[in-house]
Amino acid sequence: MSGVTLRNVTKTFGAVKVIKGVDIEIGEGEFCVFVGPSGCGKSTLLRMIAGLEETTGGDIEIGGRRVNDLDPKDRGAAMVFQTYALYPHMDVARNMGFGLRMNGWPKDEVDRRVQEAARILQLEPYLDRKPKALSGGQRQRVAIGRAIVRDPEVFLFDEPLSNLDAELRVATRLEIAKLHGTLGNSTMVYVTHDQVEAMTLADKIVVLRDGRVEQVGPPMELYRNPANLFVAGFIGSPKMNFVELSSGAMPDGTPVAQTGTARTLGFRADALRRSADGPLAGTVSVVEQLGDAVFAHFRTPWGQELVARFDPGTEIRAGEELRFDIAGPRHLFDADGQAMDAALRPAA
Amino acid sequence: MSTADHDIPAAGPRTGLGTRLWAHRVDYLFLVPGLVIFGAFILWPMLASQYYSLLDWSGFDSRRIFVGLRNYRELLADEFFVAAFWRSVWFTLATVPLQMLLGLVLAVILNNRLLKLSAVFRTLIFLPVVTPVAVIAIVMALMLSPFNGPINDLITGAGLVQRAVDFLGSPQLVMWSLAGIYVWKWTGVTMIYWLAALQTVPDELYEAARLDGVTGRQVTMYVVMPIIAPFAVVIGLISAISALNVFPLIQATTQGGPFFASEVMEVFIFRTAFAPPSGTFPQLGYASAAGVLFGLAIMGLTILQVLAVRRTRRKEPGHG
Repeated sequence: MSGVTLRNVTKTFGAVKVIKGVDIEIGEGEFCVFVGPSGCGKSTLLRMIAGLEETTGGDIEIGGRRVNDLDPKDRGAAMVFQTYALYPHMDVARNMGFGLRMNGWPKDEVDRRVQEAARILQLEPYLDRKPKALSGGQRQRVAIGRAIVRDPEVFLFDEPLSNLDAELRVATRLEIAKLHGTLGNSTMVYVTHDQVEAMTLADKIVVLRDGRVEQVGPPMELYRNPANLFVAGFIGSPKMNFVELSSGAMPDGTPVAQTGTARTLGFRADALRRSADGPLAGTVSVVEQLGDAVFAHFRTPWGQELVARFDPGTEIRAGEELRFDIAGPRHLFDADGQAMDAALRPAA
Repeated sequence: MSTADHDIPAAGPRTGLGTRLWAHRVDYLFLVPGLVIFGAFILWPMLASQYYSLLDWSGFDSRRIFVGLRNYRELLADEFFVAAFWRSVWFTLATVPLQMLLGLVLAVILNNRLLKLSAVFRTLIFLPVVTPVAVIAIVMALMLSPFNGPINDLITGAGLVQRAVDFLGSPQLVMWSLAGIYVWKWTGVTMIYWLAALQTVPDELYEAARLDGVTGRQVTMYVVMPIIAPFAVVIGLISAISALNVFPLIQATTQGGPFFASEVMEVFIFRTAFAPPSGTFPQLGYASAAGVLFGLAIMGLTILQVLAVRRTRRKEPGHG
């Protein structure tokens, strides 16, 4: 098992530069998640590691070897596709062993590996079924099995849960997390646009936007100390609340203490506490009862929608007038959207 | 094909057919133009030819004699009819497999994204398909001519043959030559069918195979071919039916000659009905009987196609 290093990696399609100089260090055995909105270049980056896209500039190393010019099969990477990419006419066992067989592996060894992968993924009862006779979750497990039998240095996952329904997505997410432990902590690179997947699976999250790395770090580090407005808004659910500041005051003139020259104040929904004389006022527009929490969306006097979290069972009604203290962590951002309260920079 | 077939709600309370027709009279009114055209140009000729096949009638005078199945009995004993029938079968068997194989090879080559100018090649290969048969007939007659035709110049120049070959004038060679022209003209269509079939193979399968170290040849043999194999049934039957409808090409090149050597079923029917050899009369009734028999043969093939398509759909990837 080995790590992956990207050094000043760039990619252009014609005149369009989609990856604009990316540096990422993924340690051996690490579960690294690339997350970002659609079109940020995360899938392209993964495909470049796999060798399915050529690298325009920079270096990609897997296990200390520069792999830029190597064929995909020689890179020691196995990939799991969003659409599973199973061969529809082959049964599960043949799907998993196809690559090995075509490369001239002895039948006994192929069978042994397929059986082992099937055991890990609990696919043993389905080995003689065709993909169309499997559920979405089972198909995705077969796709993972096909990666496992190759015993790769790096597993690459390209939005593997996107085609599954909500319930299966949660179940398969857990299975992938377990798998990471089962497979002797193999290195995994995982692409998703879903920040919940990123937060729950990752040892390390790489937030990408517009072909650039915005921030790299462990999930809670990104949650607690976002490097900029984009990361602050992208990581965490519900989204962080942002209020524009003008000379240390909110748009309605209410002063906010100790903001210095900050232009934007950020605070999460759980940072707000109901308080009769709090500085932040609002009229509740929507109440979301989630069972383990209550989210109240409220409209401020200057017309902005913000959200506050309440303990389960709290009775709040739409139309109610509330006041809040910002009791939890506050995040301050300068005019360029960079975080001011910590020396955080986008770095590995 | 879709599961929606099962979702059709149960019919409402049943009423008389007349009542229902009257209730939807405006809807049915919109069907009238289509029905009139279908009736006049498809249904009527079909029914009429079946009636004519029971007549001794030239088609050009008012003397019609009802002869029952005599035309059919005579046809089965007519060596020209039997020869034309088997010639049509031979032509189909000679052209369809070749056309399908060539079309498949071209489609697999041109489906490769890495191949530059593949759109240009596709267009070039498709060009004969859209060229009128009459033009092709004239060009081919010139190309294959034993008198200074470029193909004869080429093969005699290269020393492959001693004397010029009369491709379209030799009874032994004419069907082979026509089969060659036919395959050249229509392979483009088969290629398009295969290309459409190849589009059903998702890119990810090629990529997954690439990551697995599977070679291009192995991917074609073990991944692509099994996936597109069910389409072969449909493509084969469409090609076979079109190979049985080869009248324009043969009429424009050889008119069934020399010495009836290229007279396929359709040319036989045309000759019998409209262009009899000098000294004989047109026999529309007799030709109609031949048409009905040939029609039954094609219908059998079409039914086979429908059954095959249904079977293919059931076996198609993703349909379970």
